[in-house]
Amino acid sequence: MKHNRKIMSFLAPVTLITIIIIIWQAGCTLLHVSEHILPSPSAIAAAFKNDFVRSILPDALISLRIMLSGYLIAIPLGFMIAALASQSKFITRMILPVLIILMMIPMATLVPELKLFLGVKPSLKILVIILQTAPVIAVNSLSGFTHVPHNKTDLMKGLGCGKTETFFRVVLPNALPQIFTGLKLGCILCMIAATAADMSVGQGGLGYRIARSATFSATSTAFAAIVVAAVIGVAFYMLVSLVESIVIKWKQ
Amino acid sequence: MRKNGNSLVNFVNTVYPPVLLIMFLLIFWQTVCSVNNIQVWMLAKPTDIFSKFAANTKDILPHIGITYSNILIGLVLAVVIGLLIAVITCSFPVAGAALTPITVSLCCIPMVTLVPTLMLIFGVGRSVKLITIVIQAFPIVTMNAATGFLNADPAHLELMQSLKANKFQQFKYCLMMDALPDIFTGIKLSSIMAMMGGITAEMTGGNQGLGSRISFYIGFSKTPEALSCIIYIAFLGALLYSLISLIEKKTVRQ
Amino acid sequence: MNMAYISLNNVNKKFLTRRSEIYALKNINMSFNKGEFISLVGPSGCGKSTVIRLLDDILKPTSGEITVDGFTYNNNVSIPKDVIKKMGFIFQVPNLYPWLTIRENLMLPLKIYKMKGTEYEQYASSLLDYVGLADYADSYPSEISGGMQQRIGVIRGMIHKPEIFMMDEPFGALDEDTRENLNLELLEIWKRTHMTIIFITHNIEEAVLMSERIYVMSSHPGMVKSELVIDFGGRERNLDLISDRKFAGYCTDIENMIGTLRLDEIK
Repeated sequence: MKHNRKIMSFLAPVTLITIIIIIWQAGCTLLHVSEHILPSPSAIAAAFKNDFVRSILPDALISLRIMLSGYLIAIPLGFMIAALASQSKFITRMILPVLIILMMIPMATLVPELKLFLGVKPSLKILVIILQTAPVIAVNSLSGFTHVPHNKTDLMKGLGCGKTETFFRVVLPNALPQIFTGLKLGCILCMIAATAADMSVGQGGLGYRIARSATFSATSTAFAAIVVAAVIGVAFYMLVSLVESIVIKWKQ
Repeated sequence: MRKNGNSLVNFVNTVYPPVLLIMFLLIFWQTVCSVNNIQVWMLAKPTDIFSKFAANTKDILPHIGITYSNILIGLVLAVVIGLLIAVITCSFPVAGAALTPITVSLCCIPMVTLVPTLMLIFGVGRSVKLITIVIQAFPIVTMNAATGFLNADPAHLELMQSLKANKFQQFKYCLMMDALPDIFTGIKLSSIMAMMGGITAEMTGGNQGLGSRISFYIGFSKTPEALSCIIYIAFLGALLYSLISLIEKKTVRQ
Repeated sequence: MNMAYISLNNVNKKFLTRRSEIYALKNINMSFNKGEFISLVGPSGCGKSTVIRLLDDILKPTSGEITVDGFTYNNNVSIPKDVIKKMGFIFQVPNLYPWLTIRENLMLPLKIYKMKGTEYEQYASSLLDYVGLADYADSYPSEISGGMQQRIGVIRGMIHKPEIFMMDEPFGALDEDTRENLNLELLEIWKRTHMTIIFITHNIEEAVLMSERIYVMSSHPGMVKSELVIDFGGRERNLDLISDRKFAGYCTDIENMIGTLRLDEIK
């Protein structure tokens, strides 16, 4: 029974995607859709063959480097802010609404201003990614830290444990699900912010490649880059989910 | 509902700490800019923004309307579609197996990448922005709603079974209500995606909406005007989040 | 032959776990006459809850069949909806929906059974009056105590005026005083409505106080060990009964039966 279910959870999506690709290809060919407006799967595959190593791969690596740098800085930053804020109810009440507002603003809107202020540099993109990702991680982690069941913290107080020990033994493990919600959401936003920043700033990156190819009506190349961006985005999310399942299992 | 003391006192207690922080940050910003003599065109001070705010608002009023309405409409559509797909995914196992990986993947793909192509097909009007918002935002609604439906309280379901309720009745009277907390979490998170999708689409192409105005103003070195656009965007974000939280308080009882 | 109102005939229920088959119930034969008050007692794990869930068609028997008022259902045949409407079901926990008011919780079965009309609304009000909770009709479950919630659970089971009332350890989680009060209230309701009541409990005194017949069950596997008729010679069933010598006798008999059952299990 379980065996059947595993097969179905693999076959079903694969079948659906295959059907979509076939309809897409057939539609483009039969309706004579211009390659410059909507390329067919075969055109995209050809663009892959031609442009992957030359232009798409270097841009993908630039994007990856920027994303990872930003994400890996945002994690401890957001975490620290949340951990420190959670120690005081007043500071939590003070900082949470501001963090939420920061979380809601698409940081790509700051790119034109930052271009004036800092000049066009790769570090500009990294800054944008940190600004976008850290608040999300902070808000979710803070929510996790402040919603620990009272009986657990009371137990630690009764045993005479200090704030630091309580934090690491009780608060942190309890907050893990919420922290990972923040991390997963953060990695999605990191991807979107990186791509949007690429489009605005230029200087390489997948977003830049997509925008530039579209300008030259090299739509097939643009789509090939979109596929690569999609694969990176999904792989990144899966990686964080994998880490989550390992950590949660280890906790239990 | 428990009411601890005077609700006005509660309101003031909740509001004054962040207001204090924001005032502090504004003063800090103002001081740093003044002390270092930073040029207006590079980074506007709060006083520069404030002095031009009223006049600028009149100029960008149509754009404010466009951005606000796009994101609100897009979010509502995304929630409706997301919930529908969640119901389909949970009711029909085969459809669920097929759609779940695709839904999860969709939310990881930056929809802004499709905007140039979509603009070639659909032009630079409202529809491109709405499509971007809906596709970017609905997967998170679906994922959270599905979690809610699948984690419904089994005791609650047993009551339905003992009454021999049909599937529709089970959903209407039990599953939907049990899943509401998760659904609202999903709506809050997807509102972030809606903002991202809508505004980055405006920045990428076309000249409608607050996103497009930012690049426009910076291009003319009108930094205070550009920053006031960002203030309106921040206000929209705060409004969305508060609205969703308010509706959640009124509808969810656990 | 006198056809019983409700009967279980040669019912078996197996559960499949990862490693083995467990016989929850083996060769169950029980019958209940119309208007009787019957209890099922036995050690935990003897399948009492399973019997009720089989009667209610929440679970299907592995073999054997169940007959209620002439309708037979088994592994292949489901219970028809009009037979289900004759049954009322009370759980071990009140199981009220936290998002509905007390009144809305009470009227929920009517919504599912599509029973409308002012007569039911009046009946709901009178039931609320009867259990003394009319003032709480617009409150939420979180605002009332466990005992009050269970009272609502009991009257919710009756709101659609069933003929058969099945109760799965309804008063187990309550304190002694509340339980005694609810026992007496239940006896009152039984006298007024003449329902057939099938009552599950692990409290022997409760069973002897209220029932006309008691099925004693054993566990591992769940089987009917014996059947006892509780006869107080037509005496009124109330708390005075507890001082009757026969009462203590019945309790001791059942305790011994369950005691021997436990010894059997150890062997």
